[in-house]
Amino acid sequence: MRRLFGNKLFIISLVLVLLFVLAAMTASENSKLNVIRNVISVPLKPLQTGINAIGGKIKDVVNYFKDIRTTKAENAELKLKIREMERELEKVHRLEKENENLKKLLSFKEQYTQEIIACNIISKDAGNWFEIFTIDRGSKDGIEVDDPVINADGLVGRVSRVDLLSSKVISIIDTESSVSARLSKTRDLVILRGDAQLRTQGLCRLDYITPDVEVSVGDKVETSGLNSLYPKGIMIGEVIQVVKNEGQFDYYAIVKPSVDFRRLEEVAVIKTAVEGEGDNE
Amino acid sequence: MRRRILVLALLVYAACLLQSTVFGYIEILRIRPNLLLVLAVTISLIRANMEAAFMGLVCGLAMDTLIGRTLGWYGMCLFLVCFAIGMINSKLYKENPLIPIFFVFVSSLTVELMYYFINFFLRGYQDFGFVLTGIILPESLYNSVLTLFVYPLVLQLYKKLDKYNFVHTRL
Repeated sequence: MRRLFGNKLFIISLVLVLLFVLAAMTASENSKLNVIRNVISVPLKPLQTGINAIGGKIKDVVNYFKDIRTTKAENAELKLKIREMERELEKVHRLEKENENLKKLLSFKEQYTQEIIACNIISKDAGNWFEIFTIDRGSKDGIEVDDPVINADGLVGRVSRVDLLSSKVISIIDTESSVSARLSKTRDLVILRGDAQLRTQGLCRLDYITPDVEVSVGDKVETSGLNSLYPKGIMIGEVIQVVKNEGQFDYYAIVKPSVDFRRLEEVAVIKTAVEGEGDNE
Repeated sequence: MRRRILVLALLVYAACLLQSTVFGYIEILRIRPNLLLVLAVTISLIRANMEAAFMGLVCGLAMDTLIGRTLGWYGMCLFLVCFAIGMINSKLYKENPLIPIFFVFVSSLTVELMYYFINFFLRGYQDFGFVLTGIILPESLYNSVLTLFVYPLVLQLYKKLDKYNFVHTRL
């Protein structure tokens, strides 16, 4: 009996040591050992996609009747909006042409070439701790760690782990996420971070704002393009509250992302490739 | 034995699938229950300690994979908790339906607290009050409710497995 217990103790400690080694090896996002995730993620992927599609169908049916009521009013509103937008689009086209010409004049080189991969979200965060979701494209489709993820409204996050057929995206409201951002109005640099408490409401915060930076409610926040992770000028959100603490040097603001993380269904991964040095003469 | 491993692996896969998809639709206040934890604890209530510990390990690692961060922390927490339950389960009166519920509640608290401690507290996040009342407690309650459905199913499954294998479930 005593020998048996000793034996068990030995097995337990061995497993614990192995687990610590495993944790240490997989902590880095680029670790080669992350391939063992495929044992779970590859067989699950087609089933997840299927269930997700069925879930979407059911949701559609449930929402159908609700939608009919609101559709008419929305339609009229949208038509108005389209007219407005068409007008603006014309302006944009004109500006684009002008911009192109000016750039040519300056022989300005585009910094990045971009390719966009459209993805569906097949599963939201499985636990309650993080804001990480799974998309239906993986290393087979050319997705890599740290690729930025956006949708039509703005910045969603970045790819954090890549499996063969699927990958994990960590959203900007996760506690582990931090984005170098810029206030659209004043061009001041700020840091956008997730917060353990705010993330449950789909919000995040601008941290360490020094007193000389002016932030007010309603200010738009966009990516700065400084840390080379996210391309410049992607919309992030809007400041909804400024919190100043008595006796503290810096202050923070609460930001409502323009992306609605609860209703997120489709996203796009941006593949950025820095244009090769071979192009330089 | 081979059949047994196959059945258990399928069980874990099914739990992963439910956890990552269907449970997204039954979230209450943005909290979803942790099916893999409930599964591991219910199995460890009816099996001897080493098997309990390894099922805990497998379920925990599966949970780690689903979450998509460092592998091993849920694995470790569940491994230890399930081993402890496996040690004492022969002394329990398991006809009482409150026993599994109580055990799932307590082990949910333990596992999630350990997970919080490793992943957040040691890295300098200190909203302990919020985490306890906003995440850990509601999840533990939800897990306990889930036990009502999971425990009878797991019990049935193990009884069926025993018929083929002549290994007796501790009841």
